Amino acid sequence: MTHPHSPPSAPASQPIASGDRASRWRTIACFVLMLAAIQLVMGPKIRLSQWNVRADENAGVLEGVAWLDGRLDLPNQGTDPSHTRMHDTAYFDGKVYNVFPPLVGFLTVILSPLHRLMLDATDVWLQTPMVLIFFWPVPIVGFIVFLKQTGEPAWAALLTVGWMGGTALLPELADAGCGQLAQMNHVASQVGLLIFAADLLGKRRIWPALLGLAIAVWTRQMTCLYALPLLIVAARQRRLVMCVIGLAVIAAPLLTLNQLKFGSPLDFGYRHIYVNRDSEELAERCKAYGVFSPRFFGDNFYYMHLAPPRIDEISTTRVHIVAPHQHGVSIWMTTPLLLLILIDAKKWYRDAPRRLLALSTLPVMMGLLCYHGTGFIQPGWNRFALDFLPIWLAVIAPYARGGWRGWFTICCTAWSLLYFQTLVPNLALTGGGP
Amino acid sequence: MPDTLELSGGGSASRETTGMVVGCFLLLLVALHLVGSPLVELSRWTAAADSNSAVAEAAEWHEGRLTLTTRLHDTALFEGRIYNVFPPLFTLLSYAALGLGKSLGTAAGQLYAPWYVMLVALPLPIVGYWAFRKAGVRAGWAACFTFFWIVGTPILPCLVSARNGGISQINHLLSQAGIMLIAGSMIAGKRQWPAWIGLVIAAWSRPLAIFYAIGLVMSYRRHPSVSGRGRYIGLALAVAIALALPMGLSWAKFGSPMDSGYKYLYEGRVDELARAGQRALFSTDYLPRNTWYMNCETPSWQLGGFGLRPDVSPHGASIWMTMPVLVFVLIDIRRWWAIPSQRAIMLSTLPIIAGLLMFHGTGYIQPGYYRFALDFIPAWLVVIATRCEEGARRKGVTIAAMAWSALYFNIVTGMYAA
Repeated sequence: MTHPHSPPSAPASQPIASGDRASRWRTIACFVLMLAAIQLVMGPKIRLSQWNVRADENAGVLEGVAWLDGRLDLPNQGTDPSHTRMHDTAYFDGKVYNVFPPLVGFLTVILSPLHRLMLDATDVWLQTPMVLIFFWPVPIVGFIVFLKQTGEPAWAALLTVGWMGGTALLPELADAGCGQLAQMNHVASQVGLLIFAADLLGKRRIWPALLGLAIAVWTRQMTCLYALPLLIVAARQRRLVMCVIGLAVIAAPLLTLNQLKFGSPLDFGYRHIYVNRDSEELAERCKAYGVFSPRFFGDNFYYMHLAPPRIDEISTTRVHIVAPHQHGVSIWMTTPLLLLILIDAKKWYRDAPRRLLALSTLPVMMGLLCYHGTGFIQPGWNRFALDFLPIWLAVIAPYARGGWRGWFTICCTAWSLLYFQTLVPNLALTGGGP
Repeated sequence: MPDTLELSGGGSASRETTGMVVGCFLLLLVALHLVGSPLVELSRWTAAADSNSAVAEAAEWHEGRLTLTTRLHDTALFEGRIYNVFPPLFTLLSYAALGLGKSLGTAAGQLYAPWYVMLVALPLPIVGYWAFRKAGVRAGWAACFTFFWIVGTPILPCLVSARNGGISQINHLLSQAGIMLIAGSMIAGKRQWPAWIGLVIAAWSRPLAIFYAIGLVMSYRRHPSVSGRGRYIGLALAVAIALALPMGLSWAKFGSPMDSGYKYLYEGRVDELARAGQRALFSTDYLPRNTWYMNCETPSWQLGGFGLRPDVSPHGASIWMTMPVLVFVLIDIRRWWAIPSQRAIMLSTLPIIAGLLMFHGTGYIQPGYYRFALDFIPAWLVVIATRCEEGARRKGVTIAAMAWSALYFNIVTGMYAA
């Protein structure tokens, strides 16, 4: 298999002008076919028609409702909120707070006029904005970014399908549809990270990267470490002031909320979510060593990079893979396409923008590996890896086609799709409720 | 399309490496698993004597009886005795499987599930891929057509029904492999023994498929590379075998080799289908109704809490709407007519279609699709596939039509699969 534009010989950091070699119709056709493939392969798992989110099950929405009511703490947490509060909310100074990043809260406030008008309520989201905001950007941004990187719509479609159905993004999408805050945050962060990566690998206009970073940081705080490469790029382009102002705008809400809730801009409140949860393993780890500690590195490294899945049964009628536990499975086994980041290390290292972007994932990964939680509950995948996985995919996308690489990409994607197909339930067919 | 393609049976396909052919086939299996497995669930397949009349008949054969002990749905009541009336292939397979299954400790009257899957479901991708390759298309396209044939036609709901041992659907699936063998052999024009085997398989699972023998005779007469008495002898033998067993069984059960026993299905039944069947099994009276459901019936669409889905009739839906890729047989009518082997294939489907249109049943229950069309869809698709690589527009339309069908059947089948 040969391609007229072999990526390794192309200036990989420059976005490839897809219009030169693929007609607009071909691009549109590939995009539509990609949507068809997503529906066929992932439709029963994602269940777009069932997406919903409500304040009584989502601390982000509840926090937005609280803001509308002029308060910071979460209302209606029972007579003894230290025991009866919503799961994974912080109990601090007799009040209950959301500790997750604020994007869902912001959106709840922004959408509140619409929800008041349509539902006469602000504590429930309409399905349409939820799907438009949290689902549709994923295939659209994925396709555009991978198209820019590969220059070929069919490969962009394949990588997008592989990203959505062959990584931890699939179970996160499935759970995001049920209104689970952490999973909604993971999904939104993916879009932000891809926008960020596309700008740094492309025209480097800074503001798109800032926009992507805002989405990422307001959903996954650890991604704030991507500010480092952005500052380097901005400094080289003499746009440091604009970049710093942008970063300040991104950081300000988080730090301000921390100050208002927990008395310190750097206290994100995570340690307070374990109040009266002393018997839980996570609580014990956090209490003993703190929210972040090098002591957690070994465990987390194992679950992120080494932990294998268990093949429960191989027969003529099925191959049944099960998660041996709920702490995660190696990203290299669930998504072996990522091996290209190792195989092609020399290539991306010689390409300055890709090198910068790829290396910038290391601090993020280090931060995740030092976190007191593995990502639990994640039976069969590693959701925290989503904080750097789209960056890696953007970096390796140009190397994913041409010669043996094409087959490698196809086979790895096929494996990942099969793997996640096995693990993520088809709730639309089994009648499972949200 | 030049004649050389059909003579070689290869075209551009013959220049592909084995690795490419095998790779595309493996990717086909992956795609089928990804799209089909949530609905089909091969691991849950069961066929047992208490729900499947062919398995029940096979179990009785082991006891030395032709009659069934209990009356299952769609079994004939004749002179106080109960018989299976469905064609004999699955009974034969069940007879063998039940005998061998004892050694594996399978419960009495139940097929060993892996064998059931291997006999009914697994031949489909293999035979389909083989037949489309014989049509001269490249491996990627052969995989696309096979994928579409399995998940974008009534095969998909039949696979889902076969999960619980639905005998009609099992017969459809068995016949697909047979018809593909016939079509692949005819289009390639070389070895004919697969076509003879296919004819027996198809006729022993869907009786109207015996009409493909006409197409085989036509292709032997007109096809320049096919000559010699041996082919006629082989075909005659296949036809004799295909007819002898069903007719012999009919004779033994109902006293006449020409009495299929279908009219006795409706003894004691008063539903609409039964009344039609009691009046006449085949009649021109049924032509308008069946023609409508086969060609014209289209569902309305509903948008609600369940998402977007069609509001379908249980009597069927237009094959042109559900499988628009079939429109190419109309567009290309002059082109396939000009090629003897393709003309033979297409003309041999006409008496089958005529028979289906005059049958007393529409195919009910078939919500949103027309399952009887499976008796000719494989043959049509093999003919359509020969031209699938002609120009970008044709490729695009073909892929778009396949995608539509795959989505449509996925939705329709999913509505009833849970």
